Order: sequence, then C-alpha cells, then structure tokens
Amino acid sequence: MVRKDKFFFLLIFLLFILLAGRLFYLQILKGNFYRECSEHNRIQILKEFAPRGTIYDRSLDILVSNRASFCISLIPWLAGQRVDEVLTRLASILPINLQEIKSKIEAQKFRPFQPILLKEDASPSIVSRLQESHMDFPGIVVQIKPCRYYPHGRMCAHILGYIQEIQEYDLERFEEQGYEQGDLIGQTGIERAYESYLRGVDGGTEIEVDVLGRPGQPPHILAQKEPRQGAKVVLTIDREIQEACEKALGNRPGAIVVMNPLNGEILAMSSGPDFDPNMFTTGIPAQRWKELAAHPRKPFMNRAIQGLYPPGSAFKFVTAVAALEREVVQPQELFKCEGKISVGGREYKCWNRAGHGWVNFERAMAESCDIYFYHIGTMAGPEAISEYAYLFGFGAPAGIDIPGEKKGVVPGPEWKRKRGGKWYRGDTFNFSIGQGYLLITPLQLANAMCAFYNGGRLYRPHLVKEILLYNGERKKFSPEVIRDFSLKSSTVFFLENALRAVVTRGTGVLSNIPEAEVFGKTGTAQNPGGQDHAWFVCYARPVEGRARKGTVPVVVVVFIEGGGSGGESACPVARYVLHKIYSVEPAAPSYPSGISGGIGVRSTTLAESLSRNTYTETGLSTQEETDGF
Amino acid sequence: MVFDRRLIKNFDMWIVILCLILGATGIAAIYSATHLNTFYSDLFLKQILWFGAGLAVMLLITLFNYRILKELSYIIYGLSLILLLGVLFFGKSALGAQRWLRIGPFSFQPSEFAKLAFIIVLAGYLTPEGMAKRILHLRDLFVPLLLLIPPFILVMEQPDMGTALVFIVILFGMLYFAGFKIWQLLILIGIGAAILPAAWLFLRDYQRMRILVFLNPKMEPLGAGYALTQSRITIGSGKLFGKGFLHGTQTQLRFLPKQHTDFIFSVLGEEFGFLGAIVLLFLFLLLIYRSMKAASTRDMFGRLLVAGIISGFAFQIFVNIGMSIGLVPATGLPLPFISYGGSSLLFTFTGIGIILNVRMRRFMF
Repeated sequence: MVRKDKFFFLLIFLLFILLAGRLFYLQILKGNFYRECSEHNRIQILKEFAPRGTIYDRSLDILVSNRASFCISLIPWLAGQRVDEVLTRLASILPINLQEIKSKIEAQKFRPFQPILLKEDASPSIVSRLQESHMDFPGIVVQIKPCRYYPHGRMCAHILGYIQEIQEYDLERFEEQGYEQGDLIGQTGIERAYESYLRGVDGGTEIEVDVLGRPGQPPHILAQKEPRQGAKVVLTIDREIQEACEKALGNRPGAIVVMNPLNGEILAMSSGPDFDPNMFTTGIPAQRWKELAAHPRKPFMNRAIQGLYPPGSAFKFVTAVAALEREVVQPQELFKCEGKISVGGREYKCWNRAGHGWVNFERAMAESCDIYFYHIGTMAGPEAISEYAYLFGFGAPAGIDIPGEKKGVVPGPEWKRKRGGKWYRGDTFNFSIGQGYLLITPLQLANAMCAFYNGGRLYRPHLVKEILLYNGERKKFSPEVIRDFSLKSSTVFFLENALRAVVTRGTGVLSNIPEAEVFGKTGTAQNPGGQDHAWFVCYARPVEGRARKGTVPVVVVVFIEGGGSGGESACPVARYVLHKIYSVEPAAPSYPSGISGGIGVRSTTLAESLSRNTYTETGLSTQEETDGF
Repeated sequence: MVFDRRLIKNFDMWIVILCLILGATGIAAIYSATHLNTFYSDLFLKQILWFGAGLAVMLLITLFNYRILKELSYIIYGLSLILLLGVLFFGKSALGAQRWLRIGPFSFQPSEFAKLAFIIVLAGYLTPEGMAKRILHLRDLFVPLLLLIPPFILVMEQPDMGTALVFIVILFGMLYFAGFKIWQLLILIGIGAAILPAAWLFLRDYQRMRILVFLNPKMEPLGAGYALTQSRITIGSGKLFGKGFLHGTQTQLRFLPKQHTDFIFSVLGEEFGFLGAIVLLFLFLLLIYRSMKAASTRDMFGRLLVAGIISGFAFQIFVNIGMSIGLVPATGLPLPFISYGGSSLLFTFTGIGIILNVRMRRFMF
C-alpha cells in the first residue's frame, strides 16, 4: 500500500481502537456495575396514552373528542396461584377466551408483571361489579384509557376518517416518530392528514423492577411524565350545513360539496353511503372489516374526492368558457337544433329528440341543448376545451388536505394519441357535453365553479381552518391560490346570465329559492354501467333582506350516483341545502309535489334520527343493514 | 467479456468469506432480537432472503468491467436524484420522515442507492480526464461540492441527518485519495464549521432534541435518553463473555427500542460480550483491510470508487456502534451487514461487489 493508503487505514484503525476502548470501559471496567443494573435495577415504563386532539367544526362545535374507556387487564404475578380460579370466575361475567389468555400468560412468563389485556372498553356495570368484589379477583386491574369518540356517529365520517392500531407497513415508516406496536394512528381523512398534530405526547411512569419484572414495595418511581393531549383542530366545516347535506343525500350513493368560493374553504362535504368511525375505536373483527371493505356499495369510499364519474352536461360551462374566451362564437349567434346531427355516417342526438329549434347561447345553456355544444365545441376545438378543463383544475388532484384524492381524466387528441387511438370528431362532440373519456370528482367540479365565480382564480380547497397547539400558538391556514387565469369580463357576463337562466327558466328550476340568487347547471350523465348519474353544480349569492344575516356566497355540487335526471333529482337536493343555508325560517321547505317520492329524502322522525346516531357493535345501524347500507 | 485467468486469480475469496460471516452474524442477531415478538418474528427470514439477493448482486457485479460505471456516472447520479425527489414527493402527504419508496411489495430506500451514485459520479469527475490538470487548487473543490449539495439536501429533507453526514465523509475520503492536501481539506472543514451554527436552524425539532439528549440524557428519561441509557446497560452487562445467544435478558425482555435495526449492536454486545464485540470489530477491520488492497489499482477511477465505498462503510460502522455505546449522538444509521433492512444490505453488497470488481482488474491497464 502507498503512504496515503496507509495513513487512511491507520485513521480507521484508530477509530476502531476508540470503539474497542469504550467497549472495554463499559463491559470490563464497568461490567459488574451494568450487570447489576440489568439484574436488579431494570427499568420498566408503564405507558400512559395521551388523548388525541379534539376536532371542531368552524363554530367550535365538537366533532370528535375522547371518552374514558375501561380496560380490564390481568397481572399474572398478582394473581399468583389463583390465576385459573380468577379467570374462571371472570369468564362467568365477561365473555373472554380462556384458551387465548392462557397462551398469552405462557408467552410472557418471564414478564409476569406486564398486564395482559382481557377486555377493552368494558361496560361500567361490569367495572363496578369487579370493584365491589375485588377481593375475589386478585390480579385483575381496571385501567382508564382515552378512547376516540365521534359523538355524531356517521356525520362527517369521510372527512374525519378513523383511527386504528398501527399496521406493519405504517410502523416501518413511522417508527422514527416513536410509534410502537399497539399505538393508534389515523388511517384516513383528517385523522390521517393531521396525525402529527392530533397525536399528542404519551406520558408514563418509569419504575424500577427486579429480575422478574416486579416493582419494589412501594414502587420506586424514577421518572414520571404527564401525557399531553394532541392539538385542537378546527375545521372549515359548518356542522349545520353538513347535517343538511347528509340528510338531503339520505342513504343514496352520491356526494354533496359546499364551498366558500372566496377562499376555498369547504363548508360541507358528504358522501354516501357512509359508516360510523366509532366502530374502529376499540378494534373491529378482521372478518367484519373484510366484509365492509369489499361491500359493493363501497361505504369507505369518499365519493366527493375518490369517485370518478362523467360530469355530463354539468361540464358545459367549461366548454362555454373555452368558446367564449377563444371568441369562436358570439352569444347571440343562432344554431339550429333538429334533435340530431349526422357526422361521418353516424348520428349524434340531442337529449331533446324533438329538437330545440333555433337557439342562442343563453337558451342553449338554459335548456342544455347538446347540438349547440357540439357546434361550439368543434369550433373551439378539443385542445382548447382540454386546456380550459386543466385550467379549471380537472385532470389533477384538487389538492384538498386529506389523503386519497383521485385526479380524473381530461382527454384530448394528444391524450388519445399516446394511448394509440385517433381522435374523431365524435370524440369532440362527447367531450363538449362532458361525456366520453372525461372523468371528474365532485370536488373538482365544485372547485372549478369556485374558479369561475372568482373570474378565473382557482383556490386550493381545504378543510382545516386553524390548529390550536398546546402552547397556545395558533396555526392559521390562509387561502392558497393555485392559479389565476383571468377570464374576460364579457365571458363572465354572458355565462353568468346563462347560468341564471338555467335556474330561473331552464333545466334547473327546481333548485331556485327566493332567499338567494342561484346560478347553476344541471347534468344527466350517461353511465354505461347502469342508471344515469344526476348532477347539479351552482353558486348562490344571498339576497339582502331575504337571506339570513351573515351568510356568504356558496358553491354547491350535488352528485347522485345512478340518480337519473340532474334537474329532477339533484336540483331539489341542492334547493334543500341552499334553503338550509340562507333561509331565516328553520322549517324545511316542502318538495315540489309529484317528484317527492323520486328524490328519496326521508322525512326524519325522532325515532329515525335516533337510529342514525346510535350504533350497534358493528357500527351499522340496523336500518342500513336491511337495505344494504 | 474476454476470459482472462487473472480475473479469477485476483478474485478475493477472503472478502466473500468475511461477508458471509458478517451476514450470518446479522441474521443471528436479528433472530435473537425478534423471535419473541409475534409481529416481527419472520424478519430474520426476510433478512436471509435479502442476504441471498445481496450475494447474487455482488457476484453479478463482478461480471462486467467496472469502468462502464464511468460512462454511466451522470445517468446513475441523475436517477438517484429523481428517486430521492420521488421520496420527497410521495412522502408529502405522510408525516415526518419518509425514506422509502414502495415498488410493489418491496419498499426501497433511495438514499442507500444515492450514496453509491454519489461515489460513482465523484470518482468519474475526479479522474484525470475529468480534471484537466494534476495540481489541485482550492477552486477544484467547487464541482465536488456542487455534486454533493443536491443529494445532501434531499436526504436532509427526508429528514435523515445520519445518511446526510455519510455523504460528507465520503466526499472527504475521496478528495483525499484524489490528491487534495490535508491542509486544503482542513480549510473546507473550517468553512463547514463556521456555517455549522446556521445549520442548527435547519434541523428538525427531533434532531435538535437528539443532540441535546446526547449531551444530557436525563433531559428526556422516557424517550431518547432512555434508549441511550438502556443501550449502555445492555452492552455493559454483557461483560467479557456475554450472556449467551438468546439469553440476553435486556434483549429478550425488549428494554430497547429498534433492537433489530439501529441498536442491533447492543444485542451482540449483551449476548456475546466484550470478546464477541471485539471479534466483530476485527472482522470489520479485516474486511476494510482486504478492500484497501483493491485501492492499490493503477486506475484512478477504480481507486476512488474503493476509497468512497470504504469511507462510507467505515463511518457507518463507527457511528452506529459509537451511538450504542454513547460515543456519538443517536443518528439512526444501520450497521452494515448486521442491521435489519433490505436496501441497506443490498447496497452494502453492491459496494463490496464493486470493490471485488476493481480488485480483479487492478493489473489490467
């Protein structure tokens, strides 16, 4: 080796000598001391779990909190010889698996002081019975543990998410932050996204135990640390609007999103069918979990952000913006709709087979004439529609602050070419009316309408308003602008008039309320797999003097999976929600007669609202069980 | 490849044997640390699979001439940066440290790959074709530093301070071998030390906490301080001969967190005692010594590759063991060959494979 190499190796050698020296000190010189430590002064930590942070709605109503749960455990060492007797007696008042417990005792025979959990979340009556006759149950201890509690049951389930014992794949990633087997961790929704805030810091007591794991009498406490509750998270959700949305959606599969267009705050977001997050807090049997996860109605899917659907005519306002911004059409220009149009030997129809006759822009929007949009879509070109779809936020996750969002599909000639296909004129037709390859989430549609409301400024939608940290610090979330593609004032003017016409005299009349000016677009999207999907997207401005004081403009999207006609089934739902937001009277409006049966909103009786809030052991109320959810 | 007998003759069987012994030691330690834990009890089996895969990769790497790495160096480096960016990007929605990329059923730690990529690109740059002149000036340090910064920052962002430090040590080891004078490197260290206080501002809370806890373990008796105290008790109680395989009371009663990864050395220290620990140190040293032989190649590129790999390897051993016995702050670096972890094992073997490769071809210029 050359001199350089020798010097380098010498350096490494010296570092190793340093290690060896330190090992000599620890293991030989201080070996007896540390052996003594390990034999007589072992330290054991009794963990005390920190309660998770509370989650509030925007007016500080509690959405998630914690309750005390009683855990019954056995400390084998304290039971001593009487362990079999104790367990048999316990089995008579508590369903426990003797076989399983005995194998657990065997597995940790070297640590007899370590409590073995027998029953989580035991009922108070059993706890009091145990405490009355504690002499008969040596070794049985009752601990109080904080347990996640969702007081409103299913409400906001998809937003809040749920917590569960940490799984192996997460443990690998979060070990760094001190997670251990048996710890609880947020799995979806806010519980997941804001886990690091909600979690808190576990406390505990460090006590000296002897070689068998027994503490001294009295126990020698080396250190103690109080658990610290996680941070308080305040959502942008308005509980009353959320309640209205969930009630209006009923048990149908679908989603409703209500946003404040001025800052991207989500005021309500519901997805059906839903679930009760309480069922996870004390563990859910694996079999039951599998059944629910594979359920054909997909109760755990947050349809507002994870469901991809064709928007149908609700997309027409994007096509309209593309055509108006590119100035390929004048709003007063007339096109003739004969109910169908032939291109390349194929016939493309308007939903109105009889035809709309001569239509201008406003009437085409109001009556949702497909032929008109075939024309202006072709004139603007599929590239322009793609471009505006992307600008409005389609084809990319909207960026909401909970995980799992889907990005959807915005097609175009380039997109299709990459997939080995040729773009036909018919593809442009389909694209213009929100059919074909286009797939979006309800949240994307809501956010796009917000962007139109703002004249082209797209905000990032968010659910958390602020976080209150333990030290009193407030972390506020300010609106975040994703992009600003200023629309021409003429575009805004003509499109707004057209959207208003939809509600006052077009397909969306069933959404109109006197307390606010509603501007919207209906959509009835063909669904190759089944019934048409019903859509309605709108924004509303409160009318001074009629609307409740202090109300703000909102954007509402109603989506009902397989719900049929947008105008007939989505609009009344939107109307119900808008009425709840703006009306001064507390009573719900009656639905227009003739369709009330079809929209499926159940009139809520006291008994029903109770059954919605109670939960059985499986977390699904019996009513949902019978009709499949 | 043209068959050449010298290739076989110069294949260092010693290195392979040492790898086998070290790998087996690691598997035994992992088994001891996890066999009573129902959640982890199959980890040693996984490690055996990774070990087999590692051996195969090592032998595979000796088949081609390592000089091809020089042609590919910037591509490899670029790929490593993309992967590191991928970690940051996909880690965004998760909380805190994110070091893994998931590929099918496997999770993969790009920072392990990035270390090798950095060594390769730096070796390529520092060889004469890359450096126009042979007299090195301080300004010649500019490009190496420029190459360091992207992976360093990306790893720091994960955040993984330990691995980020490995990059710096690799840089210094290679600069030294490239012909920079000690005084030039000292100036570099001086500049680094001067901006160190600024670095404190960029550390995460938990990283600052670790340094503070190292300085004063009583600060956080239930957390990091607890681990350091327990680690000392565990190793110290092993005394001269240890408590015997699977008989370490500290290990078996799981007093220590991360026994199968960061604190694996404590398992060996407790169960095999001072003698076992010294034998392990000796095996590591022997492996480094044998690897140094490869550095005596006349090819500068090969020489620098070996220097970089050995620097990182030796540093990781020193920091990991040093952490277990309270010589350096807890940084969370794996102990090569011993700690549980597929990526670490695989890339350790890759590094050794490159060293074997260089050694096989050292007289072929």
